[in-house]
Amino acid sequence: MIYLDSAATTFPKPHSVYRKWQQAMSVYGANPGRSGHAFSRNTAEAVYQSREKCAEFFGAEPENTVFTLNCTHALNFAIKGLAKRGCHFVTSDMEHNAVIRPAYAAAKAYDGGVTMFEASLDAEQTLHNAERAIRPNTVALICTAASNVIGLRSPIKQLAELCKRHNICFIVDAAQGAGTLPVSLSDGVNIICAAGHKGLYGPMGTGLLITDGKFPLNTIIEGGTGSASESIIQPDFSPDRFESGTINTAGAIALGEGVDFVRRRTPQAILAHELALCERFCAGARNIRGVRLYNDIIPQNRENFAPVVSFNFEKMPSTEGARVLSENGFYMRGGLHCAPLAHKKLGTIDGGTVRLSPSVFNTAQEIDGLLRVMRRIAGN
Amino acid sequence: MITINIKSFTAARKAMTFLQKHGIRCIVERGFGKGAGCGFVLKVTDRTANKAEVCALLSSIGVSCDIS
Repeated sequence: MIYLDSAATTFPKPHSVYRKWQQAMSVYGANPGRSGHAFSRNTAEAVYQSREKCAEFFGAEPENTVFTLNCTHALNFAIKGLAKRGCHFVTSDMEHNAVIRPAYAAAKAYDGGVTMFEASLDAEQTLHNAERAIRPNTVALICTAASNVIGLRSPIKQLAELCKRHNICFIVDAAQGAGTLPVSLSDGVNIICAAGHKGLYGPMGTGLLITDGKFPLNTIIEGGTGSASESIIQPDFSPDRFESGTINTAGAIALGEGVDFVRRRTPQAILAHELALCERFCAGARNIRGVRLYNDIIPQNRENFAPVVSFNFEKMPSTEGARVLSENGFYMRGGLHCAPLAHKKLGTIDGGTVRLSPSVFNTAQEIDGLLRVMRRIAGN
Repeated sequence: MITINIKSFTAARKAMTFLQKHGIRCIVERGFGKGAGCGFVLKVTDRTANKAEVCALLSSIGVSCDIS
């Protein structure tokens, strides 16, 4: 099996993550932050150490680093937490439904609105489009770090400056960027939502809500936190405010190990490796008759992309293409990738695309093997 | 011994690391402070530490100094 579906979740995970997860399941078995016995305290300590690592990675404070179930969960906390009567959200046309759906739901619930701006390969044009979408009642601009369909990167620093100028919250959906692209609160981002199980190499069922604390969030889930238990009102201090109920303790602890792995390898080196694989793939695939590339990554444009490539076999729908590749041992996703507007823009809303998304563990030999199989499937 | 009530484990643990970096020994325990519900206590075990110094350090990282 050659796994090339890392935009959905990375596999395999580093051995250190497996070991930590197993250790967490057997050694850190008590509920953290609830009881006073040593078993619970040790678990809370292990969770804190992981929280501290994640916080440092994104330039945040530990108390503003919240463990969530996934990136979607974090985005719901951020978007709905900012919602108020008549609120308006701005997003790009490259967004995942994890952004679009909560934004529309919040706007509907609070008689507000959503405006989408067109993301462009030209960063200046993207900024111009984003600024035109901002209104007096805009509360937040939510933007993906990189498209999960074609890997197009957003100009994060410039968008952060734009939001600061308009005094609106800037939320980055870092599902596809965390672990490879430079996404940090130090760039002026107010809220980072990240998946723990993709580029951070943690287990599925983990995510992060990272904030700078400048935009207070209402809660969308309330309950027991193990703190301020005399009160029937949800705590006003983070992370407790957003971590009602027992967290995915083993997952959270193992996520810290994933972050350690990324730091050791460095996000820059991981990005360079994965982009090199994408360039190798594009260089081969663009010469296969009957294959269409939707983003052709070359050395001259690699700065614009995260390591994701969409393509199709011209004679078959994407799901069929992905199925045939799967039968040949190459595992990739076909379909719409939960980003309908991006597919409308690409003209693939009816058939979707096959998506290649390598991880740090994939090799050039695997890409060459994939290209050989693709030539055979396409009849070259 | 100086004992400080802190509502959140994360804040207590952050405070512990910070004080230790400044050479002040301390530990975090589960506490049930009066009116504080289930919370945590930061016990400064370093006998040479004084309240004013500890509170000033905690204040610099946004942790309130609720001494019991």
